[in-house]
Amino acid sequence: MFEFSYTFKLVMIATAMIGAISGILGVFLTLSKKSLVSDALSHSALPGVVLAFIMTKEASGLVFMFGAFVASVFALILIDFIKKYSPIKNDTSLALILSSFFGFGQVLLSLIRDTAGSNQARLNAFIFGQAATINQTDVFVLYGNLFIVILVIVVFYRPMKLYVFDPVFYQSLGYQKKLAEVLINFLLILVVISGIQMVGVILMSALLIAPAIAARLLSNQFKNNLVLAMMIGILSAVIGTFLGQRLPTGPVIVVITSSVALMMLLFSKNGLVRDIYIGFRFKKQIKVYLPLILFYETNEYSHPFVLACPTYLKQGYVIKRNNDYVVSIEGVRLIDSLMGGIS
Amino acid sequence: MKTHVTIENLIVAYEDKPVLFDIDLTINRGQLIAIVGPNGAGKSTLIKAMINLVKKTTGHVFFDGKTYEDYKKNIAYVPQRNTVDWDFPTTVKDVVLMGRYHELKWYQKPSKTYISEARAALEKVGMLAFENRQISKLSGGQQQRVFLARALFTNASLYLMDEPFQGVDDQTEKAIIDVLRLLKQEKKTVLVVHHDLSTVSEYFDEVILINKRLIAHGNVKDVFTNENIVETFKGIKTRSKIDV
Repeated sequence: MFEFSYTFKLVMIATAMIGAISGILGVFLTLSKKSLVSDALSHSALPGVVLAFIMTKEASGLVFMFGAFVASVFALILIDFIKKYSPIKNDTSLALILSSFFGFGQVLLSLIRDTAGSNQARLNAFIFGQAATINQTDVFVLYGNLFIVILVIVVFYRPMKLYVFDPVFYQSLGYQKKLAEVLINFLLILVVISGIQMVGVILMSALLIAPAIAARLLSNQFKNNLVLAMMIGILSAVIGTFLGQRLPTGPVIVVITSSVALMMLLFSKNGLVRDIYIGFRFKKQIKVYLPLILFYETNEYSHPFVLACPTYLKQGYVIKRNNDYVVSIEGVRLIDSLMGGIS
Repeated sequence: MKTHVTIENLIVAYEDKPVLFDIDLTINRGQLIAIVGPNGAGKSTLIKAMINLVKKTTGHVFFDGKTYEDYKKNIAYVPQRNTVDWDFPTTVKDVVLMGRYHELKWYQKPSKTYISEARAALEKVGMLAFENRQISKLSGGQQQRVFLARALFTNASLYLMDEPFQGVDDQTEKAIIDVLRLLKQEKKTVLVVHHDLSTVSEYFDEVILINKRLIAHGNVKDVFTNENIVETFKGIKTRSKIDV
């Protein structure tokens, strides 16, 4: 039925793996409020890629990955240094690092315009990503990275989870202060350098953040968040690759994951639509049933009140007992649910 | 009475300003001890410095004669509850289970005893009914009790609590006091950073009054005097009336 080219299969496998690892790691990033760090680090990879090419004159995935790794680590060290020793706020320093490194990368790209020849296009592809540049070696490296990410998370699952939730208590249990932080940063850089060739430095952070947001809105369990984010990452990557035969793969994948996140933001059980609906319904009900609540709380069984609100009788929230009117069990339940246990 | 913790010549400085200056303390076993002082007096810093959460500029802390590294398994710390994001996707029981994560190897599943002890800790603070509740759905007082349960679960002999009574409801305050008395019965030592001067005499055996320097330490009866309190809060306008 379908005949897929060799390249298409490679791209499919590669994007699925990138979707998986960015999904998993994104959960740790968003919960430890590091979303912007991922954006800064991916942008910072660009000058590293170009410099690695200038120094080696070789245009291979491994060389690019190594260059990106060095530049991202350097950027991370700078971010930490500024955070520690300067009065500049963290978000400001992130913005500074992001734009300056990316700008430097662009300058380097234009410097080699005349000498790079056919490799220029491959280097330019790092900005928005180009899935078709992937080859067999890259896929092997991706297998390796996938294995490392999953291994680290399985082995250090508990300390990493505790660190993300409560870093102070984590430390008070005697865990090495730096362990979890270094691990999360290391995995982040690993995921970023795996993904930028296909997705591009600009859009990489969306791939990390969007599946995690969607997963958080779908589940209140940490472990399920990891699994869901991974699945959303893989699924978006696979669908994106299919559509990407006619459109640019990276951006399409990002559009899909972001759409999933947006849908969840609106329609999940923790989503906006339900929130607004519940708020709206409550406002309406509290208006309708305010007399009933006051009647119940003051215990004044007055006939005029019941006569004024015959609907309560009809709905069964007020019943006639002997010659008095009292709030029925259903009525008490309704009041309890409306008052949220404070009555 | 046997000495439990010794603090010698402790100085802690943030950059170039000392937060704690030349603190010498011996803390006896099995006592409920309040750490009292004005804002910025270094109360939280004192317990954080004891367990290496902040760097000591100079000084030593010994627990039963051992260093922190050799003793850390016997110490339970209760952070201020606003130090974490309560939107984290997890349940009450899971937070308590975190209390002994360091005992589990990465491939080990929590055993039945492990889980039942965690639930027992929840019962002690009156939160067992909420064990499966999402932590974002807790009130402030309930959050505090969950943190307390997590500390109880560690089964330590020294408890360090950072403002557990801060902004909690009456029910939680009572639950915390019950837990403190229980810990005292079990001959545990409890250090509590405390704000409310009016309850010090009622809740605690000993009090440590600090304002960057140690002002006084001893039995509440002996040292929680007007004179010492005025000395501790010198130059600070407090709205709470000081009368003992």
